[in-house]
This record gives sequence, structure tokens and C-alpha cells, in this order.
Amino acid sequence: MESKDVDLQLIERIKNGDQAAFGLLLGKYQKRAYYFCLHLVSQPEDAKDLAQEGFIRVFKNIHTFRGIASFQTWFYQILLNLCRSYHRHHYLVNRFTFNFSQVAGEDEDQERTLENSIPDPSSEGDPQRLIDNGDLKRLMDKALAALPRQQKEIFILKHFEELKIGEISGITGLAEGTIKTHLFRAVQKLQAALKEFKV
Amino acid sequence: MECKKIQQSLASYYYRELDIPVMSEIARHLETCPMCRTAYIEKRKTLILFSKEELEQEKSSAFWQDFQYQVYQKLEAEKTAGAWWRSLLIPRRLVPALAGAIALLFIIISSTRLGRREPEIIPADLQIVQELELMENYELIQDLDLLENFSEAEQLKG
Repeated sequence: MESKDVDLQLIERIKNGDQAAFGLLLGKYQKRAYYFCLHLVSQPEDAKDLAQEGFIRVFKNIHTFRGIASFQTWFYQILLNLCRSYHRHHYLVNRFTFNFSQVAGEDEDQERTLENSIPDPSSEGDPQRLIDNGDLKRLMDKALAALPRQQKEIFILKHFEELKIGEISGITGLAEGTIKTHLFRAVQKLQAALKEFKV
Repeated sequence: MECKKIQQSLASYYYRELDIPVMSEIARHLETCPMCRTAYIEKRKTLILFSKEELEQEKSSAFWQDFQYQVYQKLEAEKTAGAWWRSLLIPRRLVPALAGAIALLFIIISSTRLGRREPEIIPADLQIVQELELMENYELIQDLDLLENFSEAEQLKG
């Protein structure tokens, strides 16, 4: 039986009040939900909260799911909206919060730029050493975090969630051509960021 | 297909997200064009580097059990909390809530027109109002400097 059919069966059971079916759906999608949110928000605790909130919304709104799109598409839409709200909230909080570091003369924006996050290979030594001690992982996280929102969302949906362009189009509401362009630009930026550190 | 266009499609090519004829065309091109082949190899290296295994560190089974437990806990908390107004329907809270609502309604009514009495009209005031209508006569106001006293105004009125 296909994964989509299994999902539909589980959803029908949840609609009929079967708690165990919700447990099965939770078990099936929890890893994907957590890592998807983690890639988007970078904070493990917040990612966990967002993924859990995603499941709560599924449970509360399951009666509105008509099965026109797949459950996976619907679920990713919920998670994506939650992560976008999270970013909006954090953007507003950061914008309207008194910034002590700026008063102290630290340039936070400069610190955040991708260029500054990449260590100079000549000063840091052998690239292999960087990979060994986890610097490369941090660099990849930073490179990913520095991508513009849409490029990052699309890259994560494509590369980590391994979704088809058509499915991403269903989740984001963007045309397939636009998604391919965003993907091309995202890969280009990541490639530029890691240029000096390839294995 | 020219090199620029090929290189723009390399990410989609890597993910096998192109039509079969385009995929074949790019594959043929990569065999013959060293520049595009190098570009593709570089791109592929980057994408392989961004592996799930590298960035998604496996969590323990306890983490996932805890994850599920917390979801159920949050759901239960939402169920018991419900809408804020539902808590007012609990019998021991119902009477104070109703009393509060009535008091609030009384304050609103008494502070609006509904609660105000219409003022009484005194006949003397009514006469003053009629006299004031004279002042609204534009011509009279224009010639106001000619008026020596109120008796002239009385004559004009007559």
C-alpha cells in the first residue's frame, strides 16, 4: 500500500475518534517535522515546539482535511506557516528590542553576514581539520541560515525533504519555474560559501 | 543548448527534475564540455556535502518518546483549557459572572443617552430662542452698526 493511502486511512480513523491512529501518524512524521523545522529555525528547542504545534494543528483541524492534496503537502504547509510566523515574531521582537550590543559598538549585522561566517582557509589551516572538528557543519548551518527565506525554504523542501518540484509548488503556491530558479540560486550561494572547504 | 543555459539547469539536473529529453541533452553536453562538466562536479560535491546525515544528527529513541508525550500533553492542556468563556459556565463562577455582566450593562446604559432624561423646556428660554432667530437674519447683521438700541430691532421684527 502506498504511503499516501496509509495516510488517508489513518486520517479517516482519526476523524472517527481513533487516538491510536493519531499516534501512528505522529510516529510516521515526527522526525521529518522536527528536522524540517530545525533547518528553518536553527534552534532545536524552538524546532521541537513548532513541530509539536504542527501536530496539534493537524489534530484540531483534521476535519477540514478533504484529501484533495496529500496529507504530506497539507502538513508541510502547516509547518511552513508556523515557521514563517516564528520568523515574523522574532523579526519584530529583534526590531523593537533595545539592542545593547549596538550601544557597545558591536556590529551585529556585520557579524551575521555569510562572508564573515566563513573562516579564512589560509589562517584556519587544513580544510580536513575543519571538517573533523565540526567547523564545517557550523559553516554549512550558517550558509543555509544566510539564504533568503524563499530560497532556503525551497532548498530544504527539495534537498532534505526530497520532495518533487510539483509537490513544493503545492506547498508554497509558487510556479514550478520559479521554484527551479530559487533552487538554482540557493545552490549557487551554498556552493560559493563552501568553495574553499570542499572535500 | 548553450553552456549558460546548461549551467542554470544543473541543480535541476542533479535532482532529476527535468524532462527526459532535456536530461539526455544535458548528459550528452556534459560528456563533451569540460567547463560544464567541472561546474556540475563542483555543484554535486556541494550538494553531497549538505547531506542529511551531516546536518541531521540522529536523536535517541527517548527524545522521540518525549516528543510524542509532549504532543499529547499539549493537546490535553488545550482540551482542558478550552475557550476562556467556557470557564465562566462553571456553576460556582456563573453567579459572579452574571452579576458582573449586569453591573457592566448598567454602567454602559447609565453613561449613554439611554439612561439620560430629556431636559425640561422653560417658556422663558423658548422666547429667548425665538429672539435669537433675529440674529440669523443676514441683512440685520450687516446693518448692525445702525442699530442704536434694541427697540430698533423690535421695530424691524414687527
